[in-house]
Amino acid sequence: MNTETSRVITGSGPLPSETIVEFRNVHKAFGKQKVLDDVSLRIERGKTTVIIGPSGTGKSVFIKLLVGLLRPDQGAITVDGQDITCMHERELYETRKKFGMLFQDGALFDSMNVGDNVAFPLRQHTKKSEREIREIVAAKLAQVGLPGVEHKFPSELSGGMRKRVGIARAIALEPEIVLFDEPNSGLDPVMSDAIDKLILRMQHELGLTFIVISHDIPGTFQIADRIAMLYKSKLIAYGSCETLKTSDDPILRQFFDRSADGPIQVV
Amino acid sequence: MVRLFEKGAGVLAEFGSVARFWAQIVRWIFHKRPSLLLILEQMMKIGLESFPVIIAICAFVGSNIVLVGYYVFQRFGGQDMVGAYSGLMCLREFSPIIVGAMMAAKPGTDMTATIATMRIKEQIDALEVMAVNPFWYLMVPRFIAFVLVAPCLIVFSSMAAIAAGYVVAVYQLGVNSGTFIADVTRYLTFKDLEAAMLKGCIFAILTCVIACYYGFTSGPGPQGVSRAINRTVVVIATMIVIINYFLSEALFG
Repeated sequence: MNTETSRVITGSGPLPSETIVEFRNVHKAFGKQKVLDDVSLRIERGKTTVIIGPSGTGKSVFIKLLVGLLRPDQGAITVDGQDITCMHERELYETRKKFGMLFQDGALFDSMNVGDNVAFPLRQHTKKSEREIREIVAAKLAQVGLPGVEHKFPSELSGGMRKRVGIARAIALEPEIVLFDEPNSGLDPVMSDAIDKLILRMQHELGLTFIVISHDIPGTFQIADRIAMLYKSKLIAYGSCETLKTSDDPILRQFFDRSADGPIQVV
Repeated sequence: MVRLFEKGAGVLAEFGSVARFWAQIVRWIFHKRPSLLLILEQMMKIGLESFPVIIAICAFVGSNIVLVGYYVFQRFGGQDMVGAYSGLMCLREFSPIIVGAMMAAKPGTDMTATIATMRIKEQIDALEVMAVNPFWYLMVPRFIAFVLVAPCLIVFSSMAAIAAGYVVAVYQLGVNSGTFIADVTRYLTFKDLEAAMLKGCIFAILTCVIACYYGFTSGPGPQGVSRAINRTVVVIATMIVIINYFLSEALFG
């Protein structure tokens, strides 16, 4: 991690476990606008890492780079030791099967009911019978607290329900890494807490690697094993939840205190 | 002058992007076996959506052609030729153009809107992350369905137009029924039908590729979707009329 090394706060928790995802000196710009500037980060297997930072600091680009929806201008991104930036299309699609992703609004297919949405990756990538698929769908929906909603359409669901169906779809193939793009956005505080508790419970039950993009500070402290903070296109902090929580770095403090006064400029 | 040059360069660049997009669709047809279920689903949708409108429009166009043809031919006593005239006009020109235009207006705009909405609601990204290529899943079944359905629509629309022309010619204008039918069968050859079906296929490819392209590259928000739909209709309608002239010249000239 050599981005403004003096400023990066590193964790002081237990020894780092196995790395599943690594960003090495990643640069990404759109035209003249730098979105990620020399970002290096190791994400540990089986932990929940929450990427935080003000809007427009490259969090969503980070996640799109990770699944190969975007290619970095410079640097390497490895998943299980394999560099995805120089993979051919076929290899990239194979690697993507290791991921499940919850999009901001669920990104459920409007033309399909909930059951078909959750069954979609199973039908595409497995040779399971319809009966087996239906059983898995029912089990995944029960796991996210929505049993028996298979026949509803996404338009009939509330925001929180859509997110939970999105989570059920993300874990349908039992991926190694689950990505959550702002799982609390647009939810009321009660539903927001319910989603955090669901993420926490699933992490304990499944033991998968969770990477969460979030703005929600209480939720972040609730679910995170590790926190990484992006600010002005750079990674400025990475460490255990406890280390960062007690840090006196003014940027972190302002962000955690949800204050408009401080070094983070409100545009 | 500079602005004109820039605009010309922009149009050429867009042509290039559409061609690359088309090449991607073709690549995925051969790269991974297309889903028969998705193709049938799209064929049903395109056929059912377009069929009634196309038949109704072609029937009225066929009637109109007979009315105008009769008015012109009777001036020199050639009103009995109206069957040949309406048959050739309907099969060679109007049916392919109307089928092309209606496929752009109904399933074409529907496709643009669907794909553009999927784009802005991150559903296309979701497909990618689930390791399903959007060209294979969204474009290929539509492309194949369009190419298969268009020639059928040409046949039925031509039949509707000629039948409607027959009714007007025989029952309204008093043309001899046997003369009309003999004219149609004598002047319309199997080559005309083949050429009309070929035109239909070309218009179907054009409609599908452009509709999918504008949907896929749609800008953000409802404004982006409406602009994509608008472009789809304008570009396809313009291209069909222009290409139809050159195709007619090449096939019947």
